[in-house]
Amino acid sequence: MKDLRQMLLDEDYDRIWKAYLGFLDLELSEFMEIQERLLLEQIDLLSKCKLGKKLLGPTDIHNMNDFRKYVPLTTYDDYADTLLNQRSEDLPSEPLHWVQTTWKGGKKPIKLAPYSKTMVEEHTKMFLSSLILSTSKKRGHFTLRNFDRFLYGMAPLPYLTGFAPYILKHEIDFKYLPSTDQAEKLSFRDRNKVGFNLAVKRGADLFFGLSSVLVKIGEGFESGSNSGRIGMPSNFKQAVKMLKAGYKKKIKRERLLPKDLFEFKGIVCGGTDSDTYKSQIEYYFGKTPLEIFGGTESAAVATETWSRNGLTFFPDVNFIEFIPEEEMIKEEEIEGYIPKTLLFNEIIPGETYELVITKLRGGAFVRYRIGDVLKCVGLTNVEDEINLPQVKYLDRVNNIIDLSGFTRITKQIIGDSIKLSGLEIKDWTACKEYGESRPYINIYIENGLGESISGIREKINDQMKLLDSDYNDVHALLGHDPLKLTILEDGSFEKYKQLFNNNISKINPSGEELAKLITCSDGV
Amino acid sequence: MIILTEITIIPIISLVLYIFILVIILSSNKTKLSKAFSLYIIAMIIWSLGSFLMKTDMPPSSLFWDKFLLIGFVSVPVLLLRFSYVLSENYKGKFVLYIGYFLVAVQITLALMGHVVKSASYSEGIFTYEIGYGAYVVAVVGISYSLLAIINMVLKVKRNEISIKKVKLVIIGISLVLIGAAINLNTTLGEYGIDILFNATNAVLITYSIYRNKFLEINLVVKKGLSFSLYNVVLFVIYVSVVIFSYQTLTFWGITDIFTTVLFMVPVFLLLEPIRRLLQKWINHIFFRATTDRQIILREFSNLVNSALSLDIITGSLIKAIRNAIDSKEISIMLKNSNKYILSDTTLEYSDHSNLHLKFNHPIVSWFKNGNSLLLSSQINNHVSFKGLWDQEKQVIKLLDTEIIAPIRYLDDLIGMVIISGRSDDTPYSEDETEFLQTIINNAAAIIENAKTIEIMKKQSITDELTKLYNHRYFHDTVSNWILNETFEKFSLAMVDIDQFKIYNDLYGHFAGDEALKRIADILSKNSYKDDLIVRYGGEEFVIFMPNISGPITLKAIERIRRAVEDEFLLSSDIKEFLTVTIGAASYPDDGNTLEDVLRKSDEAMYYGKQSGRNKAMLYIENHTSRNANSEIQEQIKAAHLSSVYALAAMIDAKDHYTYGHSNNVAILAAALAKEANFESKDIEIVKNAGLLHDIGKVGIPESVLSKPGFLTDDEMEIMKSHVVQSINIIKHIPNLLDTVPVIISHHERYDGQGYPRGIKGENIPLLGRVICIADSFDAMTTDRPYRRGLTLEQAIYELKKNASKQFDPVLVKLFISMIETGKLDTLSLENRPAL
Repeated sequence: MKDLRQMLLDEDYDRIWKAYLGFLDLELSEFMEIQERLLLEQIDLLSKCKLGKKLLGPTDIHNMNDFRKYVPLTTYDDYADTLLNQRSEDLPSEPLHWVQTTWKGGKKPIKLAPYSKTMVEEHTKMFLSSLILSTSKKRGHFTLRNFDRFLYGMAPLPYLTGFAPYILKHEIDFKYLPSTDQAEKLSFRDRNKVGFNLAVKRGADLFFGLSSVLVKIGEGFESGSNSGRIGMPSNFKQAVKMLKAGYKKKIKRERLLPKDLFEFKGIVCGGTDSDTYKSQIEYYFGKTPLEIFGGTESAAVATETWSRNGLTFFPDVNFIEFIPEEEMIKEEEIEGYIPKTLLFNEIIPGETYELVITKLRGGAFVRYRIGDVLKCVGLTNVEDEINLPQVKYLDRVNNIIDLSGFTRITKQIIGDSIKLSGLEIKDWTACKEYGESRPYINIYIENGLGESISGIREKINDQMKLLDSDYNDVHALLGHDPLKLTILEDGSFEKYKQLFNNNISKINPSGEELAKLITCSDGV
Repeated sequence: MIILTEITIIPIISLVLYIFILVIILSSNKTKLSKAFSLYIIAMIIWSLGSFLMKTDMPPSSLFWDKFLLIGFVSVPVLLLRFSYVLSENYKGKFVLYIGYFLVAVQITLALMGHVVKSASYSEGIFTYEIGYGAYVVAVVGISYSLLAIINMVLKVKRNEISIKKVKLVIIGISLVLIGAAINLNTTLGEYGIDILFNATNAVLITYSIYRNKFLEINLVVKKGLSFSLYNVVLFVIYVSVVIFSYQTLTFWGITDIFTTVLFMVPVFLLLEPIRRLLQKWINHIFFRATTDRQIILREFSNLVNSALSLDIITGSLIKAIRNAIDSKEISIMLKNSNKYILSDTTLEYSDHSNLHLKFNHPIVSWFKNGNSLLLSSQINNHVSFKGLWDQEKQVIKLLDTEIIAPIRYLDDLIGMVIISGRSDDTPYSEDETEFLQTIINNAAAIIENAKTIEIMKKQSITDELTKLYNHRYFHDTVSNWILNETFEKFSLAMVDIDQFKIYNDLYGHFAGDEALKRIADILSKNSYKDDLIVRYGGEEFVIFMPNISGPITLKAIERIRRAVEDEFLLSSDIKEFLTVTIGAASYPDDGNTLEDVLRKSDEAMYYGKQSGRNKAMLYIENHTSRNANSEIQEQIKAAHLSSVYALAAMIDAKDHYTYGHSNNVAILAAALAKEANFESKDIEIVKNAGLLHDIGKVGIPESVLSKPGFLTDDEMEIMKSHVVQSINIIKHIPNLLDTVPVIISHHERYDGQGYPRGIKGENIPLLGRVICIADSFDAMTTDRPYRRGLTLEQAIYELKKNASKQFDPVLVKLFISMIETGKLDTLSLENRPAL
């Protein structure tokens, strides 16, 4: 088979579109057929390995219905023993790589996920599909080419995003800024810095990274803090851009924006708050980012298309199921309740769902709850003429607070920080709130000792930074201080307990719960 | 104005040639390579057009056309280098190219200012020119860039980044360009345009390379045009050269009159005819490979297969014909059987073909069923219809070295597929070739279908329809022959009989029985050796012919089969699966010299196995004493088993004061009813045993449910009901009690079909099960419970009557009531029943 490099060389754009984005032409029934077919392959592979046998249980499973009826929903706990000990022989397929991610709130600090050769190939293909789409204006059109300059702002190896530059090498020639050799020697922060400096000198065509990083860079430009580092241009086009930018800044005395120096063909963004940052990125970079949705355990799951109006699922990476919101609520209310799932062809626009994936192509995860909540925004994408249900990423499930894709704050971290801060705070609750352009953690506490709010905030914030280095990075890399405090009247929590016979949830209480708490505070 | 002279011939021929090439390239797919090549050709067109006009008296002047020529001339080396870079995928030389473009601009300026060629004139058929200093600049730049183009190619070949096979013609071509340019420095040779000739040769070589190595996809119409043009151009060159040469020779001899000239020329043209034919054949060979030969192949194939009935011969001939016609490396044929497409014939050398099949729901099969014609490997890789392919399926496609798959269709049915690999020289297939492929396959389809039908009929006559194993007749014919011909020095025969198959059939019906037979046949096939002959001998009997083994090895082989059946059925958690097999084996010639003899002895061995408790694998032994001793031990074990089960049953009853004695009572009551109904003594024994054991599954019911006072919740009821299934799970492991299974499993079925676990009704409930049901219910009714006292006899009769035809068999219950009313029950020694 010709690789993307060769097809680009042949200028065979139709074939590239068909190969990488042909799935956008699928009808829902065809999509489901692929899902079911590949699920049967996966069941077959699972039934032959130790982990699979354990997960499938004693019943012989030969079809999708039995699979959904008899196989339980799983979490990482069900895999921890096998995967963290890297027991390859127990898996459905031989892993080529072990990909790592943090396990916030888990039994161990990290999670590992195995990737077989086929899974790596599929993931590469899906990532390329998103990259191609990021440079696309309409069906069949795209401007991605060999030797595009690629500013790669994602976490390095052994995280999933760190694999991309290595696996893409077999498919296409990109010029990475900085080169992969150089990048290996740099920290995440320095890599982004060096990358952007190189991009200013040479120009850049593609960006893949966290939306929050792009916004931070945009802000740096606007405030002028980045201006001193601009070096000599290395090509004519970039020289003209720099001259124009210089004219704008020095003569016209206008603020410099990244779009004055860059002309990205495509920006692909991941991370939980991508939707929030979209308009800012467009303002700074002149290009709306394309969101790709995925994770370590699931690999690429869905991608936006050229209208950037809803995510379309890849049909052949994961078998997808959805837990409806009412089932999630039931699960919380009734102990031991096993929520029911819907299939992709059963979801309804306007409804919210928790995603459940079964990794295809010999993956390890079976009916696995990755902890992401999505909203179905339509059964088709009329603008892009896609006849498949469209979703938007909402957030992580309720027991953690995800900040800009950088960190996942757990109940444990907040609780420990409050304890270690030495403040005598007994009751608290925390939730994620959205400011105008970025998300915050808001901790509600009572201020019995009468300390200054800023003092309390600083103490808690310092402890959180110490306990969670990623949280520290939000400050260090994004320059964003995401902690907010809301002080309640003394006795509010106690009153809540008396009135409603229950403690308020420590993390992400519902809007209703919060309103009740505030009423309690007002009434104290 | 004289156009055609010896000095204009080369430019004009080249010009025509270039225009043809340009048309071809422009009509092929647009790629970087085609763009680079067409620019080079355009420069060559400018060069040859200028060169041609310069050597005529075409206004404005020769010098003007010379300057026009130079625009093409100076561009050629740089564009050649660019083409060389694109072809070899070298992207590092962009800078050299930019300099080249700049130098081209400089040279054109020099040329227009008259520094390259100072003067050029054409008068009375003589063309003269004078070069200036710029010519040396042009020569140096031209030679340098052409050299760079060659060096680039050579280096790429040396570094193994590109294969020499692909670019050798291009290297030769560019070298010619270089030589041509060097020749130009000599003004005498230069006037003939040898450089143009070499450039033209280069263009032809490159065009040919592009075609052969699929650098560009040239479509068929263009290819036909290409072959036609090449043929005409070469012919034109030959004819024109001959005419000019002959004309000059004649003039030299002073012959000018037309008659003599014609007289001279006719034989010359006649002599050229064989050359013309040779040329046509050569060009056809290059472009269409032997088209004519294909017609012969097709005819020969049709002749051959029309007289053949054997499927093997037909598929073999089809493969051979396709290979001869289109020169594929590998060809495989897959044909449809009852549930998939299996590899029927192939040129590939694999020992294991078992995995090489396509199921009916395979995306490739669906693709053809949707009416599509040929399927190319690039479509399999890229088309969304193939996204659902399993890794294993992709592996099969790869193993079959797939380049093209062609469907074999007969009357709208996809009866098979021909899978074709690429060619050994990696050249692509032409449309003509794929058309041929479809034609020959269409011709073969009906014949293949016919042969398949005959083959199926042949197979049906020697196989058993249900299990697809060989039948009794085939076994006798074949093995008798083997013995007659002394094919094997020794062999063993194993007689395999399914234990308690009648019970299984009665219990679950004949459909389930057939399924079980198929599964057991499958187990036998999977657990036998490759050369074994497995036969469905009759009913539930199978025979396995095992060549070249006897004694302990045979025992090991039959034991493996016995255990495989046990694993699949008896040891499964499904209550239905209580089947086992008993196998007896005897060997030739140790145990007998005729087939009948050996068969009889293996049958005897099997019979011993049955007698000693079933689920056994036994060799025939002449002296039975040791076996008798053995069977005594077996009997003791059996007795121990039985007593432990009865003890277990008693323990269940004893768990609950109120149910104490229940099992025993049910056994006595059921046996009495069976006797009253005049059942055979064997059945009375069975029903009695069943009565004793019917609640044995309660051993697995939690105490909290079992002895719960009052009513059970729905969930508890479900748990309680499961005791029936659990009873069977215990009993199925005890061979001697297997005949109680149908009885016990039915003791909670109701006559109206509302019972459990199967919900069967009326006569479908085994008769003895209906007996137990009455006995069980009656004993339960008359027992005291913590929340109620047991019913009196009158009350019990009322209940029995009320539920006749609902819960109970109406005939049996009537009989039972009469037994109560006549006091027959009083004679029975029941336990713990105050009502009686």
